[in-house]
Amino acid sequence: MQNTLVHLDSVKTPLFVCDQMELGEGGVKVVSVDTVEQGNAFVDALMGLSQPESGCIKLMDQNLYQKSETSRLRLLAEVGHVGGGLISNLKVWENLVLPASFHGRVNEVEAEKRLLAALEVLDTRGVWRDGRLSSLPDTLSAQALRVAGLLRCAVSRPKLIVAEFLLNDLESGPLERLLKILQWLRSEDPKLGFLFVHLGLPPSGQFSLDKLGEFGMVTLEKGTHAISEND
Amino acid sequence: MRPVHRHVIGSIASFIQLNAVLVAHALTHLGALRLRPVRSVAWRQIYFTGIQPLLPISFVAVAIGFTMETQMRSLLGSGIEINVKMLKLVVLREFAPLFVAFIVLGRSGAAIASELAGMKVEGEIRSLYLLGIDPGQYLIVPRIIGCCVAVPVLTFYFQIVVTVIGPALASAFVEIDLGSYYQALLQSLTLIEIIGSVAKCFCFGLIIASIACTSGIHVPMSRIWIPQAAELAVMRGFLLIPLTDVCFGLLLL
Repeated sequence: MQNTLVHLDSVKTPLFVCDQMELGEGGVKVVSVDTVEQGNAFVDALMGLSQPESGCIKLMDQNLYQKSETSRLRLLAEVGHVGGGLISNLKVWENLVLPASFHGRVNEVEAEKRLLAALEVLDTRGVWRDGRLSSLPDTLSAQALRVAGLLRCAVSRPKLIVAEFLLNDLESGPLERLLKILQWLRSEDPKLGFLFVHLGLPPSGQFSLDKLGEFGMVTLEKGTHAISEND
Repeated sequence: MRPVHRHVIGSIASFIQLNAVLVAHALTHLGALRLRPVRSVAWRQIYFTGIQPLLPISFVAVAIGFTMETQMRSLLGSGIEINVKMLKLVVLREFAPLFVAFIVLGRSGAAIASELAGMKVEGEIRSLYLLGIDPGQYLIVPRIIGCCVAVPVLTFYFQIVVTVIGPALASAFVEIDLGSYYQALLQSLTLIEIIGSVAKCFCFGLIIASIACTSGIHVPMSRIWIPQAAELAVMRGFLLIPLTDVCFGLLLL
């Protein structure tokens, strides 16, 4: 039986309204937002950081807001979040293994194996192995930070990847590289779910998310805050 | 409009509540130290707070030990008993814990507050949460452990340098029978005094870490508050540490 990874029903918050949304194992969904704040608010509500005014949000079939802080964090360990940046006082390498090692999912040797396996495929020019991994995150470009977020998922192997503005504002080259990594992650785990929070419409044509499988799209409506302002 | 005194009392109450919640959270999650990443942050904190300042602390301890010894000899004469009593009372019991606490507060307290404030403003604390990592376990527990371990150890080191090296250097300028002096000092120390000193230093460490963490975490989401967080932590520490010292002074009467 296919498990539901994300389920939203009649969710209302000050910044967005979402009537219905569902994402199952192996599915791909794009949530199109108007503003960065709206996208952040969506992710915060989805991941248990800010309770909506009304409606139901379920992650991995469980209502986050009815759970204790500890069980909520345990559930979030199954989700890979991409787009929030890295911890500035840890080296890139330490950042990549942090979630997996904090949740006790892998030991250091296994984490290293997983990362090297990912780099074998994705780092054909060796720039990560030759320097980036041992540097601090502030030396990485915005594009490299996005790749780092995906590499972190390659180490922690979550059931769902929530990508905040991962594919926004990119030229064709970097976009192609990110899609290649996403495809690789998909090939490693066909049950992996992808939820892209995207500003505006997702990329189309040769860079379409179709490469990950058929995808659905949800456009968020303006929230109660905007409605009351218009009144 | 609320009267000023109510506003002040309300602010103090909420500050105490924030610190109490933070310390309680940290103390009930000490098990997080079993996790390798948390342990690694704790070791770093101990190194930064307890080992890095060893050189300046040694220098100051030698200077204070030397000055105290020469000044006491000129004021109180050469009687060993009175000199030992003064050294114990002024330097060991009061001055050493306070001095070390102020150094740690100015150095590590300010650094912790601005580091956490920066992490909050840059969205790193949110990121940690979204990765399923409890910021309380990953950020607060190691910092509290680091300060609670470092302050007593640094104070002990400071006391040793003041009492051993200070008189030894001073003996080159004034007449001191070092053997009898050290013997009298050792004999005059009681277990209660040692336990009291360690407990006081532990409390100072806890206060420094908790006010630094609360000052850093509870900043508004703007960069201009990062230096303000450090300043707040230091000023709050300057008020709370002497207050705690007074309480310990009364307890040990």
